[in-house]
Amino acid sequence: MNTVFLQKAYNWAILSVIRIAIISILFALLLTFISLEYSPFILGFVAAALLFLLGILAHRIRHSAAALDYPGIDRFFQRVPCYLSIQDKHMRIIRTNQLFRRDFGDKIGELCHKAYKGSDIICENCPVVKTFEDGQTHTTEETVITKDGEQAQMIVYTTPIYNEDKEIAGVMEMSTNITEIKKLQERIDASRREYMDLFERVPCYLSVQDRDFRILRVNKLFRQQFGNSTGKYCYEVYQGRNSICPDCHVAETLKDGKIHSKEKTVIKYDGTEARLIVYSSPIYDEQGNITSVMEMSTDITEVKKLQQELTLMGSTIAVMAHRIKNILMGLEGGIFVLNTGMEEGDEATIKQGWGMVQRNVGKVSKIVKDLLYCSREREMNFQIIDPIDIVRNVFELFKEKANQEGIGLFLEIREPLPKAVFDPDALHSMLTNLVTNALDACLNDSTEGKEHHEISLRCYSESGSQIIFEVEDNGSGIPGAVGEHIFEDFFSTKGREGTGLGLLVAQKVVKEHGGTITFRSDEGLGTTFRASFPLKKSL
Amino acid sequence: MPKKILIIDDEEDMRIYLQTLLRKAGYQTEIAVNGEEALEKTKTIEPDLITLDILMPKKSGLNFFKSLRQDEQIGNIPIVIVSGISRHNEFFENETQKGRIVFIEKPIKPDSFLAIIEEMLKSHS
Repeated sequence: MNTVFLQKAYNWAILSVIRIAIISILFALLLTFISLEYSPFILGFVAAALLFLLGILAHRIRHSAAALDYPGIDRFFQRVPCYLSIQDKHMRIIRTNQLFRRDFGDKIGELCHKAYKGSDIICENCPVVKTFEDGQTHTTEETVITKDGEQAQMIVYTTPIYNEDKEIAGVMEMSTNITEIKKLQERIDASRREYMDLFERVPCYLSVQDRDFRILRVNKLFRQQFGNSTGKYCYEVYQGRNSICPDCHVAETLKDGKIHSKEKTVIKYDGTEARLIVYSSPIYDEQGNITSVMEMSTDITEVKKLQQELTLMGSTIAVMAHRIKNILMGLEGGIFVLNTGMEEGDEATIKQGWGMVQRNVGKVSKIVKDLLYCSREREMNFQIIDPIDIVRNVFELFKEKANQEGIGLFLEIREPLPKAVFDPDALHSMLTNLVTNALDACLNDSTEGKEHHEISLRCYSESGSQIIFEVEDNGSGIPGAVGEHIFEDFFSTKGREGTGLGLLVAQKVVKEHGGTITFRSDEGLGTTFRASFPLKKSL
Repeated sequence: MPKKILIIDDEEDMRIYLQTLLRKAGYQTEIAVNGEEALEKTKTIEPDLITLDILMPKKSGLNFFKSLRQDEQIGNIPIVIVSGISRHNEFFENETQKGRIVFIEKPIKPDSFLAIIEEMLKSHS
């Protein structure tokens, strides 16, 4: 049907109602004056007044709606797949579409806040009010209640509707149900929070690097150990380098998209070194391009230490077993020679056998002593002593032995040397081991053209704050590869004198005194061990 | 004539032990403390058998062995290797198969050691 025609008919009907109402009032007045009867006048007057008001109200509603009515729009308005309603400036709903009516019921004439939310007051930040005020489009998110009593999340757009006089006659409200989207969004937010929380709290170092090796994100543990490194380059943070590390696993992952793992030594925020096992894994964009790499690392410093200790223990036991086997053989041999001497009544053979027994018992004793020194926590016995006494004692101990082997042993003490705090037994043990090693290095030296072997035992004070002990030999030297691990790994040659634990003992002694031990060695030329002790004059 | 055995070992205890053991068993013994000295003595005394330690200063047992085998005059002397090392060097494998050398791992058992010596001397006489 033609909407214009309908509108005209409606207008005519309303005007007629108003006219009838006015006539009814006049007629009621006339009747009152003629018959002077009170009640029919009152009744007639009231009825007419009600009709009048009803007509005015209906007219106003219709007037507002009519201002919005355009031929052909109505069908479209009705079928739009979102909720449409039109409110007048009193917030009264004057028009709704099909979908609105389906989910909210026929709410024409109701106040919108009542219709949507069951509320008696205008909503805070009401977009309809705002649009009436400024004529602009507004958007809000609202929680409304459907006719089934269910809550729904809506995204609401409002837009003004003008009448012929260019006044805002109403505001059209267009709403979309985003309850499901909202739920989905909340789930996404929750899982994002969960992921972020996981990323933050995971008990290993996590970082994300871009294609230029710049750190994009780090987790809590990473920040604690490496500082807030976001924006810096990974090689800068991990290694203090200016360029990419030569064996970079992140670069490998960027190249082949595979997971790579490596063991790396890195420098932490506090300057200490840590051994990490690092995994790198690619992160792709929607097109399948690698945009960044996630790096996950675990600190295995302690594990490594333990592993080294276990390796050390393993090799110590193996070498010890070998040495003990040799000593046992020496003892067996000694007893055999001794018995033979006794059988033959040969004093010289008896002496030889007895000498063998004594030597090998001495070796067992030394091994046990060294093992005990290395393995258990020994209580230090610090005293103020003259280090010269100890050095001289060690020198005397080895002088004859070195002489027998044709090795020159020299003592160099640079005085003045102050008395200082040492554990005398420990210091003696350290020097004994270093000299023993030097003797073995000379005895084992097969370098051709070397006529004479020498060992120098030195002691001197340096810059008034250190006492230095040095043992220098011109023996076989330590091969480069062995030298790298000399203090961390079990080191042994086929020393006749040493137990193989000498350097461990020496290192332990130096550490217990707060000192350092270093060495320099050239294979075939010799070795110098240098133990530096802080000069402490009082206990 | 008693058989001559050259004992090559850098460890004094081992030398005394083997020397006493072999002397008591009726062999004539000579000693050398390293490979270099051993090569000299081998040439001079031409022993019937050599006991050889592998790890030694100056000239190691392996180097001595190589030098010895290159020498026509003394190259065929049977050798008993007495060593703490149980792993054989590949170089010795061929020799072991030919029966020209035998490995004995320390610590030695006197009876089996003497039995091996006797066996080696017999098969190479």
